[in-house]
Amino acid sequence: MLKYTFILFSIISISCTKVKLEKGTCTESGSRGLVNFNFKALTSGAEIENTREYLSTDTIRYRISDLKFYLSFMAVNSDNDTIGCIDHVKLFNMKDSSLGNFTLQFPSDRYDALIMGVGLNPQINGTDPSSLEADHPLSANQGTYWSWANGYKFLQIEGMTATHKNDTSVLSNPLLLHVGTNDCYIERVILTDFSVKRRDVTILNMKLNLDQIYNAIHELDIIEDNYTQTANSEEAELAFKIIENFSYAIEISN
Amino acid sequence: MKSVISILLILLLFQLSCKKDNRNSDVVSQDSLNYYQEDYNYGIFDSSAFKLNYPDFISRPLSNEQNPLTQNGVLLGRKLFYDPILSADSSIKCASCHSQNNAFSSPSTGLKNEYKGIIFERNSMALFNKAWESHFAWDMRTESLEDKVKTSIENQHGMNGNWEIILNRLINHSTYPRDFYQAFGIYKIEEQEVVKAIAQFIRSILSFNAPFDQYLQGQINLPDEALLGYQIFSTEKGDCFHCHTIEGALFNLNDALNNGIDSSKSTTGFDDFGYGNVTDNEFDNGKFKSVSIRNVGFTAPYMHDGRFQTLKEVLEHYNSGGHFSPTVSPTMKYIGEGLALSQEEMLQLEAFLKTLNDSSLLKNSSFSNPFNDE
Repeated sequence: MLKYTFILFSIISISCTKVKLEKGTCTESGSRGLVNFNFKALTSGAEIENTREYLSTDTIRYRISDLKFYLSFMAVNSDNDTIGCIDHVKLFNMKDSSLGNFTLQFPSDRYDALIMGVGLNPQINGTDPSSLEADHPLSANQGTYWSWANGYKFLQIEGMTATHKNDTSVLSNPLLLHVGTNDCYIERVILTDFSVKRRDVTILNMKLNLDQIYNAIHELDIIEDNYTQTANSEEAELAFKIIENFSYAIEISN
Repeated sequence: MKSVISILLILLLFQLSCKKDNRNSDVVSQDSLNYYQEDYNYGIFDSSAFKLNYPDFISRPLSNEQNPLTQNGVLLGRKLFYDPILSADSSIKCASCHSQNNAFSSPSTGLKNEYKGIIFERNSMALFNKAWESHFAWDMRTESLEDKVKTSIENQHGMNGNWEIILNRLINHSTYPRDFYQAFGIYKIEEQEVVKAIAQFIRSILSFNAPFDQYLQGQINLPDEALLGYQIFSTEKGDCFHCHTIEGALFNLNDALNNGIDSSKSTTGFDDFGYGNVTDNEFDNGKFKSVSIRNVGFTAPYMHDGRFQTLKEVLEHYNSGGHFSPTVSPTMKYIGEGLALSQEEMLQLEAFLKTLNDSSLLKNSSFSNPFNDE
């Protein structure tokens, strides 16, 4: 009888448990652990704030009023398998304080590298925003969808710069860098060893050095190269340089 | 035989344990029970969901678990919206400043922001498609529509509502105790349910039946003039689409921006700091919520302070380039220079904007005054 009672309660307990899929889940079954990204967005060595003016590496004064970007993360394990899923796409937005730490789930394993997608890969970039709830990172409500491009703005930087090196007046040169389209999607492989263990949290340090968006790979002029909507060939060229510099402005280490 | 009985017992218990406890929906707190009136017919509490119907090209609205729309909640909210019972002297209702004839914005009185001789600091915002918005008021001071409703009722320069008086009036009213019971299952009417009901009604007000919506759905063609205006609107030529995004077809942005309506040499030179007062960040001074330009033909006067009486004045402001200030949006590419649109292009732009007017909103009986006292 005791045996039956035990079976009975087990069945009741199992059958009433609601299966809940968690955000960030890469596999629906199997052992998983958490990777916490200790993320800092820096400029001039300090955490970026929209209340402050900064000096570029060319000593030009500037201020950032808006910074928004999409990143996605996949990991390469020691068997060279790539692990990732759509839930690992994140929208970072300076205005809603999402430029801080974040956590993703990965299957328990040893990993040799992270593949960081800057922007959205063509498959995700083809998402129809009207199919999503307004608070989803890919919904039209985020102000990141471009219907003319049938895709999303991957990177949005807005602010003001000085008009020249010795300009001490109120910042008046608009800075508007809106980068999108599939040609501007960049994947970077970042070699970093880390282990993910079941029910354990692995910490990775991630740093964005915004100063480098004008010189990480391509030398650009913050005053002259201040405007792109990726809308024509000239703007697309600047947009690609900006997002490539941006991708190299991000460091990840364990 | 023993095994069969055991299995049947298991199945019976399984069934019972997983059955939803319907009594929960009828549980009323002791405090609320104290307000139960023996000889009053409360009817039946019914929390049937209210479904928002919107076209396929519109994203799903924001999730709203704190105050899900119910049919009875929306009906109650509609009554409260049109009832002056909430104002101090029972003379002002929500609809006084948010008139259906004006797409639920301020009635055009000829005077900006004026109602019964009271001049309001800010223009009354139009109320439609709010289920998609995450910040409310011109200065984006609240992320909750319920909070916005509450502060509007309490506004000393408007309804000047006092909750003790309001609740006393509602509790002693001939029909409201029944309405609140049917919508929320409560006998004791509280502030929270009053604002929830009004917020539900506001969220139920949808406007997606403008000629432009019909065009997007392939139901009609638009005149060439309007289509040329759409091209101006949605490109750098008109520079409109940054703040009134065509993406999602809501024509707003859940953000505050400085659109160059005021000139200032410093961050503190604005008469109204707007969003800056909320964030306490001087670089947000002079910024105001970018509102939807749907129904723009019905929502004059324009801007946060109602400074422009006509759509033509608004277009002239942008065509002239607007005024520079340290917090002006970098998306205003032609600030100080002007868009240089010709008169013909201005007319094309205006023709397009008129295709965003949804006249069915003004006549929709689901949103009209249920008391027929006007």
